[in-house]
Amino acid sequence: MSDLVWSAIGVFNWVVLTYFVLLNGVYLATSLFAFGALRRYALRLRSLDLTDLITSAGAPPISLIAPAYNEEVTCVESVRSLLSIEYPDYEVLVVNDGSSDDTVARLTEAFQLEPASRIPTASLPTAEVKQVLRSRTQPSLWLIDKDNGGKADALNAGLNFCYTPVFCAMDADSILEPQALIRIVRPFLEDDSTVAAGGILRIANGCTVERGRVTEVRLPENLLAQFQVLEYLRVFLAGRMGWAALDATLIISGAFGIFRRSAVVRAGGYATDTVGEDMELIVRLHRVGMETGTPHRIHFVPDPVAWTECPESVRVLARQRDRWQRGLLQTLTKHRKMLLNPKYGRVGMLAFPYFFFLEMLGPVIELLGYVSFTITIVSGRADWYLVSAFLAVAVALGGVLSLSAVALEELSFRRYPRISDLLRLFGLAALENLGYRQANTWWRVQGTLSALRGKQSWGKMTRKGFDTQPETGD
Amino acid sequence: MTDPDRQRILVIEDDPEIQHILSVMLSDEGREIVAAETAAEGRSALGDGDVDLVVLDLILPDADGRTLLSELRHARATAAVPVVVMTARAAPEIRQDCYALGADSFVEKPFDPEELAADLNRRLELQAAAERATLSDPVTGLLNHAGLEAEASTYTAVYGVAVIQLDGFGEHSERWGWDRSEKVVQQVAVALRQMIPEEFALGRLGGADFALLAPGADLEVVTLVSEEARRIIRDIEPSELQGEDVSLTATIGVVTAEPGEALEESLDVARHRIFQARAAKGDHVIAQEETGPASGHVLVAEDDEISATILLHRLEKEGLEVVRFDNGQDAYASAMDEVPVLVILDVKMPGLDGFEVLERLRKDHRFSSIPVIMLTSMGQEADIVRAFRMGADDYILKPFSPTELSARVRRLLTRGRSASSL
Amino acid sequence: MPDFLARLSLTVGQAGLLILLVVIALLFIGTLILSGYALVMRSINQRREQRLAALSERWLEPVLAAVSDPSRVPEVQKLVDEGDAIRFLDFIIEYARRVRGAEKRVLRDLARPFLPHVLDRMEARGTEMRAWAIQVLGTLGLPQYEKQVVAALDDPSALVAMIAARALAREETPQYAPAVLARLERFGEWNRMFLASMLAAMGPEVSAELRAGYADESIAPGTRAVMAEALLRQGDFLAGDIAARVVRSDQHIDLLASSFRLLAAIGRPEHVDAVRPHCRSDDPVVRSQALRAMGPLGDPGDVPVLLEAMDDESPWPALYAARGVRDAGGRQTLESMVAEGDQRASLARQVLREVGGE
Repeated sequence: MSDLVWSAIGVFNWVVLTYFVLLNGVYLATSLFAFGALRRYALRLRSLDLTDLITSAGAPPISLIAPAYNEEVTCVESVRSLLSIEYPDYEVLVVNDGSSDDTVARLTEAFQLEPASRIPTASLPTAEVKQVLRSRTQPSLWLIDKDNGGKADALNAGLNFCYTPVFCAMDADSILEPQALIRIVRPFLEDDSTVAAGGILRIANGCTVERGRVTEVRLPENLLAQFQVLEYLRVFLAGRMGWAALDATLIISGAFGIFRRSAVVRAGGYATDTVGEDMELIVRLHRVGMETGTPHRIHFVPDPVAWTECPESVRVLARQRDRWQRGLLQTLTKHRKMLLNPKYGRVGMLAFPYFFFLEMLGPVIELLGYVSFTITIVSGRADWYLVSAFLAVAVALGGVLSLSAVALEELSFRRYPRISDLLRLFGLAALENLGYRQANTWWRVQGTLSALRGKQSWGKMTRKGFDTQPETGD
Repeated sequence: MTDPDRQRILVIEDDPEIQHILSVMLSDEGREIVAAETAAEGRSALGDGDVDLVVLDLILPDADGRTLLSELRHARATAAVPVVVMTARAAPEIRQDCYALGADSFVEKPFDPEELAADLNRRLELQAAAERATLSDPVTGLLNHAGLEAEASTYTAVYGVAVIQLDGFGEHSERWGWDRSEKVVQQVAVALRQMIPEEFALGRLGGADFALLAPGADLEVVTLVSEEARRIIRDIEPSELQGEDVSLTATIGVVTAEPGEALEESLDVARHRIFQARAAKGDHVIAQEETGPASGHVLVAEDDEISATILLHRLEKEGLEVVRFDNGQDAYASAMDEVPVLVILDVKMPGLDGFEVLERLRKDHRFSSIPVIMLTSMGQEADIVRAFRMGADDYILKPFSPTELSARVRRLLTRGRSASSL
Repeated sequence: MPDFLARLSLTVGQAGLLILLVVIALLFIGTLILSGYALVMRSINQRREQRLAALSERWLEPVLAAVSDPSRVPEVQKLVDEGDAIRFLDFIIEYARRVRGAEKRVLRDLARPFLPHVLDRMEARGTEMRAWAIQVLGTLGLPQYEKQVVAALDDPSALVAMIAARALAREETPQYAPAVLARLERFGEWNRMFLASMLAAMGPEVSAELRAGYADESIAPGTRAVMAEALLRQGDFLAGDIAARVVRSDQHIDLLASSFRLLAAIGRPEHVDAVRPHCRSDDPVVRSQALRAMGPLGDPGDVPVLLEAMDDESPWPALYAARGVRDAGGRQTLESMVAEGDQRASLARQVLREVGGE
């Protein structure tokens, strides 16, 4: 091979190193921001209970919109748990997204659903709504039965029938904390310009769930799930918390988030042409808000609000990450106009570039980096000291970042009461960089590729379930 | 009664606007609304004839409403009439005062007319139901509670009382469905009727609870008869349940009573013995004579530990036996197993919520007259209307005043007793 | 050129090696520190929790006993060490927020000697500390510490001000109403419905002031709208005339909308003339709220206008118009729409089935 190629590889190695330093620099920075925010929050958690402030009337009524697709096994229990949330005034709108199983029948039987009339309050386009049912025993429970159209489509259908100023978008299988709404509604009280608020998600695998509530928190048995526990801690406590401290929240997880109805309807509802409708909506809310000059604050409440089941098999996890990456790519390219555009403030200048260069392009750079490093080493051209030192830095830095997330958890919420779980999290922090991280990179590169390949298939996303369902589209 | 089919509601209130609202909201066929603007007018209306319900304003031009309330409670004719007190800006002391004087409910002005109407309608229904009651049980043709009372009042010497409860009937009937369980109850009634001596009286207290009155019998005789009854019940093969492996068993509590003593008290003692027998051995033997408080327990379903601690402390200080659960399912299961004297339900609970428990309880005829109090949070006043529609007897808003709560509990417990001894 | 790059990478590499070694060392120290930190936090927290549990257990029975027998308050207070004052307050407040009436007063008495410890935290820089202090003083320390709580209404943090306002805006203490009302404009960012329910909680004694503010054109329209919402929650019949005057002269959308809501609840038929012109307003919010008020106020003569509005392009005015038709005496019209399968049938069916308004 010519010297030119070798030099190019050498240069590329440095590009990868720069990327690596930059990425971890950002992670460290957000961790630091998060540290300050969480320390303050820990104080509040210890001393302040907002329940009486919020439950004493005056809190905005909320509709919980829970799309359900083939959930016959769990739907009754899930809905029961939704009905027992502590909040003064809320409705539950279950949207059946054309399930092929007995979801509707189970719910009808358990809650004595009967046909009701409820005219839409918005006209977002959706698949056809077949019927609207209401419970005879629980007046706040409604079922919107529609043809299949995907999660975004189901959420839009729910939104069309939403009568309250604020709604909560969630997965039907998310387990909400009883105080989830009370905690997360606070930004809407303090600041009338709030259009959205998200919170911290936790992984329910391994935990004991009784009557729709998480009663005992433990690490899951499954190693893959354990890694995801650590990952979620890092993403929410060190990552999103930090971005929120910078007032540049760009993602609110689809498993739980609350929104101002009028703002979302005005922005056109959920996009059905992306698999990342949750992030896309937030980006669009920022964009529409900035472009029309309407005040629009998007908040992140550092409170664990919902628990979600994570995949335990490599196959399903790979598909989930593939989809997340595709969603990210679709969202960012759709709104690429915002990239480094000062018109969009901190979002355009900070958050968007971070997601664009580090989260979107990152996995590709990282994967190519592994390849070029391997070539360099195999060809014997590498400085062995340098390579091993670099690997040591990578592992140690990754460990530090993960450990800082564990430390943040210990500082604030301490949801894992067993000391053995804590020690295991330490171990996972060291192990994570040897395998899990690389696998994740690989899945995300595949996601990037399938997004680039599958542009034309964006439109035909029906006949798919939500997070826990296998996909059949491409 | 002047006209038994017609309900008279007396509204003592000097504000004509409120008078008007109430007369519109409450008017219904078969109801007469009598307006009084002063305490004096109220007294004369009460003197005119039977009143089924009184709505009383605390501040009247010529008197304090509390004076009138106390007069009303002390007069024999009006002692049991439900009274709803209405006032603006009441201090908790005044509230407690009113409950202590015997008010059934308390409404603060400005009030939500619909909520008030729901409350009043519910109370009127209760009242009407009590009046409709006859002496025989519609399901079995045996005597009912009132019939037993009437029978007992004719006895002139010591008599024996036995309460017969089919074991685990609540669970059974859930499996069988109501109409089949009812058939089983009828079959048991027939068997018992054939077995007992002619001069004994047999009645049904509700659900699968029967009572036997044995004039002239001492404890030994009643015990013997009861043992026989237990054997008979065990031999019954419910025709409705062919193919199912069901063996009916019963636990029987026995007691002797003096003539003139309130039957309800004897029944309570007998029930308490059944409770003891079950608690001790989980078996079906007749409980032996023991002394001790003869009342049942109060069932509390509340998931908030701190509220529950306060509540239990207060009720136990009142000398009540309290059984508490932190969720609706367990509370319901316990209620099916052992009928409490009063139920307090938090609205928001994991699993079954308070409304669902209430609905299920009200479907069970054993619970038709067991008072239920709902605990609901401030800002969720819409729940109150729903609770009354579903058959709750009272509600407490959280944060709550423990003193007021115990006053309401006591009031409901004594009302239950006086209503059943009519 | 390639040669230069190769050399560059080599020299940078050698220089970097040292730096890297240092970085590695630092990072490993970092991991140790972080793990150590987490473990220390864990043990500190565990010890704190154990101590709290032990204290709570020690306090629970005596406190409950004192609640039912106030004469025992001093002996219970003796059980609490000065150093545990804050913990004791944290313990008491959990009970205090769940009860009212006489029991709450006993809890206040129990807390009294320990409240001075809270005052230090009033000066804390952290918002959360101050919020906690105000929460404690507001729940357990009124009226002794009313000066501090009223002062907290001007706290730079919205959270602290909100907690103070909530503590002061109680029906039992109308004397604080002026302090809260005077700051309404400052609370402009807060949720309006939340503000309104807070004002309404102060009870009928502040109605007159609310009415005066609502009628006062020198006050910001947004604030007046909040006052109208509060009057609505109080069911204040006397506000009807003001509302009719406001909708005749004012243009502010929130203020108009709140005034119509108020009229819908407490207006009288003579106010209907002020409402009618707005039924064709260009703004969908104003239009729908005006139509909402037409229901209870209007007469059968208004039904044609309302029927027309049922075809409104925006769903909210159409819904309120339908309710208006129902309430203004057009029930039969709606019934026949349902029977004939009119295009508005589903809307008609919905409002016919609604029990008790929304």
